[in-house]
Amino acid sequence: MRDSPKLLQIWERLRSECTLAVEPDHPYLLTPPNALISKNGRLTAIFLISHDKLEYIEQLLVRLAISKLALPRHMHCVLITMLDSERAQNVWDIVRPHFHRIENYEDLAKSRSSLATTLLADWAVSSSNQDSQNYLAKMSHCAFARSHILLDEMLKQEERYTRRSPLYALKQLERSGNYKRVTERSWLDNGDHRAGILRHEQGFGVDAIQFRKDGGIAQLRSHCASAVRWEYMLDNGVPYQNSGAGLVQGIIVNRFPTFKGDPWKPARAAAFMGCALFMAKPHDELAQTLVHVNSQAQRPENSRRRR
Amino acid sequence: MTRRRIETLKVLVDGSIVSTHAIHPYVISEFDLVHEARRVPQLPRRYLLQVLHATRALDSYLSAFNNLHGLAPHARALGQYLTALANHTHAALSHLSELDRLRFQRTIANIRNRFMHEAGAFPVREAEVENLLAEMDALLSLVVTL
Repeated sequence: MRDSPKLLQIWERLRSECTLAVEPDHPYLLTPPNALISKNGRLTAIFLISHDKLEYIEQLLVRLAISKLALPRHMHCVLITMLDSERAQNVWDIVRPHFHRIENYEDLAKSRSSLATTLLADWAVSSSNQDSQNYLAKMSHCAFARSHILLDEMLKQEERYTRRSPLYALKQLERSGNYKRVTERSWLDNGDHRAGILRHEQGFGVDAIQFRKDGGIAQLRSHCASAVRWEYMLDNGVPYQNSGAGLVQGIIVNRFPTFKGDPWKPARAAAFMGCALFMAKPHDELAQTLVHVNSQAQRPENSRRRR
Repeated sequence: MTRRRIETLKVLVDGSIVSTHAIHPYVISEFDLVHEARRVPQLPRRYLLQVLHATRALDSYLSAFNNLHGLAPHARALGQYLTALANHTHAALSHLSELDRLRFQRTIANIRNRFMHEAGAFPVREAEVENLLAEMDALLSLVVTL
């Protein structure tokens, strides 16, 4: 998809007209927009979609939700579809309320007018949207504060690698009796086909990842996406917290994945999505850590300034 | 700092209120200098240069950001910029939480002050520099959302 000549042509034109970052490397985002463009104080996030299956549309919406929390509120979100008109219509029907604008990439490539002017156009925020903007600011504030608390908790762990199996540690937790397996919440397809995760009686979730030697980020991304779906629901492009949300999803791992140039980015970005990574250890220690981290993560609510 | 990270920070700066400030082009060029410093062959000097240029980019950005919002016009240090962002009364601007202020003071200001002001102090390992620069990126990415 990313090698499409028409898409490359769009990027080249944008690069000459404004500031462009393709596949941006944002410190808090494991699932960023496909590109960010800006000029003179205006900012637009560009998302691409090339499949119309619900699974892909849901991934797109999760990316949108978390990007809205991590990026400035005045940012506009544009979806560029790389689909034929019939399949584009399927996507359009579901995602239309969440994006400021939806474009087809062939139309954009053919357009003779300035792409930056088109994509950075000023969409005025109506007064009815002001409340949702304020809500978004509050959610964003909490997500940043919680991510820092969780990151500090993760940095306290002395071990960075273990031979213990995360999946075995998860089974031990399940046998302890305080957890039950629940079906994962899905935004678009009711989640019937999903395996589900363990949920503690206090509400927080636990999952496990056995990271492959060559992998890491992709595995982490899909687990964290499930935490976002659990915590938020998307309404007119604004991620609203579900009742009882704000709880951390613990992920038991065999090692901490790293990222070139920013070793702690995977942990920081996972924390921004409401997840904390823990090395596989005996289940009683793990249980204590999970309860402790969840109590710490409630602190952002208390620390918020009120005026 | 990777090229993609530099490009991302430039987009965020260009898409923020600071794009209207006279310092804007200099902030952008400091990011390029962070990336160019990777060619310096002596590791301690490379690390120090990276910290220096990232510091100038971040501090200039925060100074301009605060200035445009009428906050702490006489502030000249990261700690003062952070305090102003946490304690201001500007109606249209969110606050930096107290937890975040304390955290960035600890993870950025306290560490880099030693490298910037103490003779003979250099970052020793690449990971040390990467983590410091990443914290500075994280702070800038947060401030643009306030």
